[in-house]
Amino acid sequence: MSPLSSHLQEIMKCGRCGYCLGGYMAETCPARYVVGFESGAAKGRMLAARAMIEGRLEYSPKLVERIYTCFLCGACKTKCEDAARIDTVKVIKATRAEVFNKGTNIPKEVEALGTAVETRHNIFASAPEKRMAWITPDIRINESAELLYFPGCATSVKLPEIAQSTARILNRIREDFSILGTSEWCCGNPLLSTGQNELAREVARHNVEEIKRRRIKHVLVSCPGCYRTLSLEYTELLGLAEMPFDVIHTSQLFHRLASEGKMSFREMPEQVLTYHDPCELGRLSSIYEEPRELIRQIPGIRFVEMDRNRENAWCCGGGGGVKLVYPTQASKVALVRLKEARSSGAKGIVSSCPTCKWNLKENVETARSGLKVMDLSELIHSSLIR
Amino acid sequence: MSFFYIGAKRSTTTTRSQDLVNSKRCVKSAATDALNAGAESSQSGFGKGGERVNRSDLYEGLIAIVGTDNVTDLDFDLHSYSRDLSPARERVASIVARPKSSSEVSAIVRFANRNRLPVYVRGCGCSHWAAWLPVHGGLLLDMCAMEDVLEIDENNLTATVQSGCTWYKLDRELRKKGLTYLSSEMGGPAMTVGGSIIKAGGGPYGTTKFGLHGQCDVLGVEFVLPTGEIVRTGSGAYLGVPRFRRYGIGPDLTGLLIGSEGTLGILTEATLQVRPIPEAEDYLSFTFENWNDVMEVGDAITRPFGDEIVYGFQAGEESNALGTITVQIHLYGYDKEMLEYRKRKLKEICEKYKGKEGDESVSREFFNRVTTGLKGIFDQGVWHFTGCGLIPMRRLPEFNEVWRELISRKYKFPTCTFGAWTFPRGWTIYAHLRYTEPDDNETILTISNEMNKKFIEMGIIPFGIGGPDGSLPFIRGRLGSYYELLRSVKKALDPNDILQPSILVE
Repeated sequence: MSPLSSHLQEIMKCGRCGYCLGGYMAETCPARYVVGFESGAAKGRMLAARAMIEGRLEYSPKLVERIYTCFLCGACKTKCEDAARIDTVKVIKATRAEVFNKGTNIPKEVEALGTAVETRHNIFASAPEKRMAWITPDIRINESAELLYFPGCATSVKLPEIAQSTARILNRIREDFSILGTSEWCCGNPLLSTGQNELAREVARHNVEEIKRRRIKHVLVSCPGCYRTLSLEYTELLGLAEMPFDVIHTSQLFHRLASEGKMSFREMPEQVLTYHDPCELGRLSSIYEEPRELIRQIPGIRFVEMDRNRENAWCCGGGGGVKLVYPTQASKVALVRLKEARSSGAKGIVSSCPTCKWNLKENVETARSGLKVMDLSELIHSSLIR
Repeated sequence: MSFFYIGAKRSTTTTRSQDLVNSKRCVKSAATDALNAGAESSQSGFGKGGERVNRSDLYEGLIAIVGTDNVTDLDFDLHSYSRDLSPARERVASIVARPKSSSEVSAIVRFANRNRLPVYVRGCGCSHWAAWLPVHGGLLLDMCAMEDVLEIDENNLTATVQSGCTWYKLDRELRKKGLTYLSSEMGGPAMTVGGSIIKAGGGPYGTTKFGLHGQCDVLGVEFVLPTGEIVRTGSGAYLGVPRFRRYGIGPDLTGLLIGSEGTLGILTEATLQVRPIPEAEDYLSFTFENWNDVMEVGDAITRPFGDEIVYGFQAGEESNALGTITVQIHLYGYDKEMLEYRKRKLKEICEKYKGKEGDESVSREFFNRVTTGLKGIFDQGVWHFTGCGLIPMRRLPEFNEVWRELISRKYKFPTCTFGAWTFPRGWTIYAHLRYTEPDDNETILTISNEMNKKFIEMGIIPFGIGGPDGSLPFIRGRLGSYYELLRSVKKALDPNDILQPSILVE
């Protein structure tokens, strides 16, 4: 049975109510917003998926483009919880796996992504050593620590400041951590998002073996994609009953440490900040409150919410591999979010995801919002009592 | 220069030209299809008497009007628009366009006339009687890009929107100003104002007090005639006059569009009556054992015509629990004293007719999720609404008895609701079947067709007619001179029969 056919029953549950369309164009579904036509939204994707299974569609370049123009943000999945309870994200990923397995008209960026992970073990095709370039001389790493920090590709290569802030926080509060270094491979999230399931299985196997070999009990991640993949997807990919280690996101760890009194914050210059929920951390992992509570604890900061927050948050535009394959579409979605952040009265936007920071920051200038974009780890690091 | 049937173009999998039939055959066979069809894919061509259209002229012509990003004839796009909420068979358009303004709609219909191109029109596409499915292929207009709230007039208590605006979006904007529309169908996130008006829609929310929102709250519209002229009705017809009044300038041409199912013009803007959010609202739930009692309650609460004591009154009975009729009630008041009075009065009426009070939170949940969407709606399967329409106040039990006979005794279908909600001096009724696709499609259609036929014979005013896949086969020959007048109007306004052909008017 092909990856998509196995979802036929799920697809048939769609009653075409249109809740996933989300009320209006820029309200819920970023893919519908950029595509315009209903084939962008889950409702249209379910009908098209059925036609694909029944062999009624050609795998044309345009079809493949439409299939890859989804941010996998899960907004439709949330809406569908009120309706057919279809795991729309899973079905949409299956359409990508179907397309990828066929091998017809695959975007070159998707193929390049696979090649990069296969040969360099990171999504940017950077030299494997680049994964450790964030480690500055002041950062202490204890190779025998039971806590493993797994920064992920985007943090290590594109946004080293997130890894540096995280490491310095851990150093400051004397929480020892180790790293896999060049043995850390891409977690596989971008591969699963682009339909490259077999390669994802290979990297999952590698990462799990490396972590097990070091007898690691706890894995700390900065990236919500890594978080979901390591904690949820690996069991399915590798057929494991449970993971041999637990996975924790930096926002969770910092929140716990603050609650235990191991972190305290100094008075910061007055500023108004808002929080952007990363889709894979918020909607898809239900971690909403920890980052907010941390931000609120910092003296001098006034926290404001955007109109759409938590499960209703608008995607940053960076997810689902769209930033890599169709960056213009990613920017279009980011601009909506930046405008919303500005309307909230915030002067800065905090997130807990390297891709969110990357995509929002890249578009700040175009948006003329004047917003400062930062990761939660940077904010925490800058406000810790020294 | 190559010519070909529009329905065949850019079809990248099968030779659609093989599927094409001329329009006459299509209409003829479609009536039979409504009785037999499952969700199989239909032919996608339209033919319109077999005219041939130059492919590139059509595609480029539409692009010139709405821009490259707003036209598609790619097969997966077309498939994503191939079904509505009903089990009606797939109908695949030949091309889809997304206009953004009235002038673009006007240019499109002029273009369609020149090319004898059938034009079907939809909002979010959730009709449940095949109201827009492109029977003859052709052009499908997706009106959702016309979604703006154009004006909220806090003095005249009106809101003017583009027709693709959803009720959800309108309510969001109104509430920022302490207003709401107070009358609506369910499914606000996916239901457009335009869709409600062209079907003369109504739902359980606020209907007992205000009537069907697709009719009573419309103060004027802007629409594009099938020949391309842009027309405004009501007081908005006069330049410089606010759109605040529907009647008074000759006949009610707003009414020409309401319930027209898109056949007489393309609705582009609408002005609606809105209201301040009531200061006090409350909810009650009751159960009754028979529909006579429910009817008496509905009669009593709507008898003070114009001063109905509740906003919404909805009753329902499940096919697997006959004799237990649950009623949800939404009460209102612009002060608490008035609300308490109404609540007391309502309880007296319900108790007089042996109603037993139940958990009010059921009603609260139901009415509060009107615009945001109900929960768990497909837990028992996907939906088919059938036998939907309006009946006079005192005939409710008769229709319920026919429903019981068909659903519970003849077909023993386990997951079906008979529902009714009051409007001032009448009921809207429906049968709501939940089923599994594709296994149950044949059964569903058999039940549905039998119920529609029976209810129409009994005198229901159908909620929507649609085309050959909807209720059209059942009203054929029953409407007499009214229908002949409608045909004449259609012919006068749409001489080339390009707009929604084979929908409502044959």
